[in-house]
Amino acid sequence: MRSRLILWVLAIALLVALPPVMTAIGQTFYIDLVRRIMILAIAAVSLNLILGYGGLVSFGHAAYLGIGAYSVGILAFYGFTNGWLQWAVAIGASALVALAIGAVSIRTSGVYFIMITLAFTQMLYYLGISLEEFGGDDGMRLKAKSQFAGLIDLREPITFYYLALVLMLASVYLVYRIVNSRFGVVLRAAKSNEARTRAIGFPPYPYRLAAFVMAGAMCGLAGALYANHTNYIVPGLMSWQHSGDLMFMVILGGMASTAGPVLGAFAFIFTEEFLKVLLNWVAPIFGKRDWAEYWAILMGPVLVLSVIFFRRGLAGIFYKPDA
Amino acid sequence: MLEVRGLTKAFGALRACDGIDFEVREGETHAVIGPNGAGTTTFISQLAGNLLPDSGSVHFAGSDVTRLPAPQRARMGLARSFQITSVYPDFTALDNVALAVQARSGRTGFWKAARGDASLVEPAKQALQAVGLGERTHVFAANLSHGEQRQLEVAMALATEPRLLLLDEPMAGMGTEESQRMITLLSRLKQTKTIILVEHDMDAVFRLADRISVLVYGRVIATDTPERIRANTEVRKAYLGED
Ligand SMILES: Nc1ncnc2c1ncn2[C@@H]1O[C@H](COP(=O)(O)OP(=O)(O)OP(=O)(O)O)[C@@H](O)[C@H]1O
Ligand SMILES: [Mg+2]
Repeated sequence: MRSRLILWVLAIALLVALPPVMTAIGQTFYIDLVRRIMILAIAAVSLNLILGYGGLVSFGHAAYLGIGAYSVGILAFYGFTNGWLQWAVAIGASALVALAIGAVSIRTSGVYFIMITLAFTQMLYYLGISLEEFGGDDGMRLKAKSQFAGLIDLREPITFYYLALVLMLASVYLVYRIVNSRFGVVLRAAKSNEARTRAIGFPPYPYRLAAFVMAGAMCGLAGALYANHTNYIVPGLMSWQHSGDLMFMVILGGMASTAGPVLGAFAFIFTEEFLKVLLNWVAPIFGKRDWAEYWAILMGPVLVLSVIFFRRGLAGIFYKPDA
Repeated sequence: MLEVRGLTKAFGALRACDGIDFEVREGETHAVIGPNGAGTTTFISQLAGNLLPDSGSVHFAGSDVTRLPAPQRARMGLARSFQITSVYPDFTALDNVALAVQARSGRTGFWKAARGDASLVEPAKQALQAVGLGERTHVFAANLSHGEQRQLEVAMALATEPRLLLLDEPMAGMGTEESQRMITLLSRLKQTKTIILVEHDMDAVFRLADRISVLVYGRVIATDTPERIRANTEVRKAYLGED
């Protein structure tokens, strides 16, 4: 417990120190990169609530990133730039969609659950493509970043960075509290042994559905942040590949662990960036100019190896999983 | 307290339960015995709500529960243990039982840590003490011996403060010493609880039961006191393998 706390303090200190250090050495690219990672980490943390603790293998979690991002984009398009409003809509809309998808899909299990969550997300993906008014396939530019009347200015990259950091830590703490509460214990119990859980008097369905909605809402917030980060909203955000990326972050980092999804998000994106640089570096040797887009081909084996070598994910290196 | 009428459940052509009439009186320990495959687990599962019958009815404490889902029956006071050990292997013994206490309390919450909650932990410790696991509270269930896991099952069932305890072969797979300890535990429980006990261990059955029902091929062929069952020639023929 003590050593975990020290690790957390060290990691947070590192993240707090990053912007001034990177500014000083002129590497502001990294501020941007880490900010993106922290936003995706929120999405991964929310997925961990249902995937890691709830045992619900949702293969469509990127849907809520998309809903959150489109909520912000569409409101801004119509001139509603108030951040409180935008983010509340992003969270609310994601929660509602999660409620609808969850109500249907949680009645199934195993492969059916995976396929249904995937199918719903594909529907939303094609819905995004069909929205000609909002750019269709090409997506839409965010007209203006979310505005918080003098309180926070998201146009300031470093301010935005610290906001993302605070929200990421808040999401980690929130999920930590939830999974250790009475509610969370039932959620985990239903994953561990469903028959026993029913036999002592808990029907798993409402617990799972509630967790599914909370995870969707939290991921919707990540989507709102993501729209402000990229200034551009594309349907691709909801693609199945993106859902897969989020799942890998959770699995790579360590399912059902507090820090796992955050570690997974960092490891995943850093590896991705590293592979891109590597590919661009070796490409000229073979007389090619740009190979960066082939990073995914190398990512596959890296993920397979990491799952083989780190059974309990990266978090397992630091400590045992919670009981 | 429990009344079963014409309970029938078939798996394809096989009638695992075939028109069972059965009743349990308040306070008694009612044993259900039968040769392997007689249908006892199928019977218990229909009482607990894990399986729904093809026909027939189950009344518990005055209400018809025939089609009620298992969690609701549990909250009415029907608790079961499983023939094949069913605990949370990745939870400690204490957390296993605390969850059962929580089920009884009916309260939930999203913020306060359940593990430090005295209103859950204290009754859980008592239940573990009662089954003889007082020294093993912080051991993961996966690391308990088979006998201890069986005891944990009983502790979980007890912790829900049931009105009727359904025990499906609590002695299954136990050594002699462990069995003796379980019999001692159950003879203490039977003072205060109403129990349906499915068991192959005849020593345990004749020591614990107030009444015995004999199930053969999904039919109850006799229900009576232990002495009369022992003397019943039909039972001896069908079940104890004598002629
Ligand atoms: N889900 C099922 N599908 C098909 N057949 C089943 C199923 N469950 C039980 N059976 C069959 O029904 C019969 C009764 O099974 P049950 O498990 O109730 O027996 P039992 O009396 O508990 O046996 P034992 O004493 O060995 O535990 C057996 O022949 C069994 O093979
Ligand atoms: Mg059986």
